[in-house]
Amino acid sequence: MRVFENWDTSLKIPSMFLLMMSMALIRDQYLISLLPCVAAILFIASGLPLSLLLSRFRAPIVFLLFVSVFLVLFSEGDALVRIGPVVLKSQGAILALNTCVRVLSVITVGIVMIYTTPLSGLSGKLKRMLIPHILVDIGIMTGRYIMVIGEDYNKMKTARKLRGYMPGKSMARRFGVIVPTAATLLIKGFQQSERVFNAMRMRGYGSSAAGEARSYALERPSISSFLMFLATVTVSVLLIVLEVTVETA
Amino acid sequence: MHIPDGMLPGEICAAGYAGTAALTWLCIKKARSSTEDPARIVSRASVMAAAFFVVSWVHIPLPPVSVHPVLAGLMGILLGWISFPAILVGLFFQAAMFGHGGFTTLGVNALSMGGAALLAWAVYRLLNRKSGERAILISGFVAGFAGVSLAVIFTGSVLILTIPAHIDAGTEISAILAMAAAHLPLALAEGVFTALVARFLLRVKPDMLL
Repeated sequence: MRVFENWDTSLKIPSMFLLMMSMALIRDQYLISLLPCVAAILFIASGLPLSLLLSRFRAPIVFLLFVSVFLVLFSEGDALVRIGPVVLKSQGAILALNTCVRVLSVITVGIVMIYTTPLSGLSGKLKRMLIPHILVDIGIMTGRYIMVIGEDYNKMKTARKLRGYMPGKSMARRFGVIVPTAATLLIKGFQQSERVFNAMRMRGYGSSAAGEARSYALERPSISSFLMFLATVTVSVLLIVLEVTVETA
Repeated sequence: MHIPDGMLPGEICAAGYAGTAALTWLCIKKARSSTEDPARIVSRASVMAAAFFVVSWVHIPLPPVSVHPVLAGLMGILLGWISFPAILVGLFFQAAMFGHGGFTTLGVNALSMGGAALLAWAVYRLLNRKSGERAILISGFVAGFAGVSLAVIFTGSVLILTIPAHIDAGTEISAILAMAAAHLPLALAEGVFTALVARFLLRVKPDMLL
């Protein structure tokens, strides 16, 4: 949905990040049940495809599986099920369920944040958010060169296959193939970094950074962006207040 | 080895970001003291971070499966102080593109991997005082092995000690040790990989090694 894409990045990223942090803070099981609702509302409003969400869940689900098994087996508390010498604990099962719900909810908000943020003008807006200029520049250029070096890697793989240079089954032969491939990619990267350095110096990198930051600082967010920022911050603060209240009670 | 979003309490995530901010500042300051030009730091960190990102797609054979290299040790060897900000940026892209790790846990993950890279670099420099292939093979292996092992121990400790379950101390220590033992084959494979890549670079482009 265009609403999320039009939401000013310099307001969207801090407010959604605060929301993710406040969701990560929640430990009370009743409050945890609110988290999927918040995540679902944001995801539906973003208009992102469900397939994207499911594909992004693959890596954390493996991780969550290991954590859940650990919690169910090693937590102290009452036995839920006994299978021979193995005892599954009820407290561990509840904790594992809470952890899974919280993790998947926070990840969903993260996906909405990252996939609805347009890349154009991102560099200036991140600098305006007090992120160090040098780190923003590294990030923007890394994103650009992942594509360039990734393409080099694919060409090398194709050339290797065409020449019949296959890894084989033995460990020594496999290392004999992957080590030169990896090292050659690193050398290409190093040489590319030298060319980039020369180009940056020629363009006077560093001297115009302050002026660039000032020009971005003059931009004003729209009222709708500000209202969405306010709503997200309110939900985040409310979650934190509820968690603290429940914890102290 | 990357902790996903929502796994750690908010205060630990905030502490991770504070630690990462401090270490990033220190690393950039140290890198700038050796090279005055910020363009050198930006170009080297960004292009090499991209190269490492792509190299992490190469599979290391670990029968009966194959795994992605972690590359913390190798990044330490080749980038030195810049390895920390490069890993920080690399972890951000892994979280954004593949869902490995997370945004709230980015600070903790960066401390784990980036800290391991810096320590692996220190170990490499300590062992690689003599020149020659034998020295680079030994120091490269130890750096690669240390990079994975330190990251696993840090990540395991943070995870197990922050889980709000009632787990006794003995079980917690056993779990951390079990996690480290489970990653031992990966650490050994990474050590061999790092040693061989370092030797290749010594033969072909020795000026890349710090």
